[in-house]
Amino acid sequence: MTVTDAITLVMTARHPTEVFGTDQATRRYHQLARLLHPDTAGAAAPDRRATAAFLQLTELWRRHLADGRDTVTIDTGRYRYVVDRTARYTGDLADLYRHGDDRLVKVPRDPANNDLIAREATALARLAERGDARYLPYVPRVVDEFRHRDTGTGAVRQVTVLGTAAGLRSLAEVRRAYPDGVDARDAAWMWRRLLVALGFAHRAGLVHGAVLPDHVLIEPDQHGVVLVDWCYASIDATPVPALVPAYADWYPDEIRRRRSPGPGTDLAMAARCLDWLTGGRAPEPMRRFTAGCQLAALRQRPDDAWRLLAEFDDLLERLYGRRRFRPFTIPDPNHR
Amino acid sequence: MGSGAWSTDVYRAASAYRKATGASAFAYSDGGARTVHPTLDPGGVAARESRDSTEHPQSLAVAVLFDVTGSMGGVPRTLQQKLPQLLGLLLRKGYVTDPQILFGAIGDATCDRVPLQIGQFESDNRMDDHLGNIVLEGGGGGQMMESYELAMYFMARHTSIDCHQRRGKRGYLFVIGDEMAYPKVKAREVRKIIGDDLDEDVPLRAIVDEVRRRWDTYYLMPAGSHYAGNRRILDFWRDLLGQNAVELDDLDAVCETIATTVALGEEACDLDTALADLRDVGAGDAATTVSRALARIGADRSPAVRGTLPAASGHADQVTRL
Repeated sequence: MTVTDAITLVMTARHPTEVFGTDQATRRYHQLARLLHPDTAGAAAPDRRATAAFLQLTELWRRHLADGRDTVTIDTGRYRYVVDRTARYTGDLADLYRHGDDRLVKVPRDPANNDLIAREATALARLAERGDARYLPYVPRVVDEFRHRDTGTGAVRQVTVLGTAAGLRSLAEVRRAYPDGVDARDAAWMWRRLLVALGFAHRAGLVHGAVLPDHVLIEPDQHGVVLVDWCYASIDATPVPALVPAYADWYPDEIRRRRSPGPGTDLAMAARCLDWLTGGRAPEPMRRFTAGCQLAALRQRPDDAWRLLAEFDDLLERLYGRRRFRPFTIPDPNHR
Repeated sequence: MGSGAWSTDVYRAASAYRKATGASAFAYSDGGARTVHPTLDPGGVAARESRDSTEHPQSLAVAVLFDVTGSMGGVPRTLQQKLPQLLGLLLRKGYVTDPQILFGAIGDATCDRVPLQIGQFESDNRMDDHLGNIVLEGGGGGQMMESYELAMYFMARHTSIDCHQRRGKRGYLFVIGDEMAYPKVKAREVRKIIGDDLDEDVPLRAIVDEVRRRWDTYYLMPAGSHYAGNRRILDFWRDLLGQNAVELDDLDAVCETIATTVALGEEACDLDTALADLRDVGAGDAATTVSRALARIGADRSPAVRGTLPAASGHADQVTRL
């Protein structure tokens, strides 16, 4: 579809359905919004028809949502969640649906994984209770949780509602945007913040158990890090219950053998993330540092994230001198 | 597994036959058997299965394992007389449409000949046969510990239940006993009794955590057993299972307690309705016992939200269970 087609479609429509259809309306909306957005359509349609069409599209979408065609309402009795019908994110085992701008409703696709959803809520509650409150922004916040029984199938699902911030991108996305690897100085702040998240969790008696590129989110502008997906967390040294098969060889031995993990488990996986993120571009001393975090035996690895952070800061100072803020941007793969 | 239909008449007939011949309910055990009956042997079992079928499309797994060591006194025999009524009770009350019940017995792996006996999930009279084939130990180590952790290990790793796999509903596991568990599942015992080659012991808390993923797990501590009323033992289980560790002051109400617990879990009714049901059928004493036992369980169970969720994304799950 060209921009001109999109303008005609939107400006002649008398009902949202004519534009969005009845199926996959969210996708249709996103597609049109991309075409007509002033940032993208400006050059193609300098007569501002595209901008007018974009405003009309927004109005049609608002009406569409008000019709309730593309949303589902979950009424818990205490609160009503009006969520998009299509998932905003798809995780390893759950779909996350948007409710408003700052809430995600996390639903396991298979009810057999309810225990993992519950495990995450338990872990995050533990962090909120026992963790140092200053570091709570490093993990998601549980806003609500409930069990849901499907009226049709009788399937019971454990649902968690999480608070979310805008502009978060996973390390997996970052790496895709930097195919040759991220500059070690940029990767360094991500790792420093990740160590804070881990130090925070370990002090509260938790091991994350799945420190993988998809679970580490960064906020590029503010240099923020949020460690997500606590479904695999080990609470009080219980074994990690499951692993993500795509990353099977990232897991230290103690996890695969169902043994008790420790802080060194997370630190090894975090070190692997750093290696992977820099794609071998990191200077030799940094590579030695991460290798020292990934020894085979758990007891040979560092076991204190805070102390490791201090060591890492020493190393950074030796390598790069005094710390300076380096702006970090993620090139949009669609704009290349 | 789990096919067939319950016939009360057949059960009555079997019971009448036993009465007539003077055979004990524990016929196998009392016949002098000191080894596990082949149908109850956990050795080399991949998984005891509870499956949906055309006959039972909404299968719900219920497992009842009881301590058969000496400290339990006459409790195992009473349980044997009472438990056959569990299926009928669940069905009559309409709490569950397709229950599939497994019975098993727990001994002490450090000194007993038959430390673990596990039947199959059945939905008909065969479960009664399993009960009859259970060997009573009568011994016990005298250290206030039995091998409950071994039984939980079996339930965690050697059961496969459709209610959970297909519908996300955990099965119900009731452990009836009066002692503590050992602090670890010992790899050596697992190898010998179940046949898995573990390379290290599993801490008790880890196995409890694992079993509770698929099993809503309860510990019932009955009156009439040796350590009944012992705070230390109840505290031990409360520490592991929270409010799911329940004191049962009248063993005669064991089926009512189990059925009501399942009913509460299935949201088939609330506690008040269940108790009223019991009084209606003239089981007023049982109602008192059940109400005392379950007051804590009913209290903070929030009902599930009913409705429809947005369609799943269709992405395949990326999870390998350990």
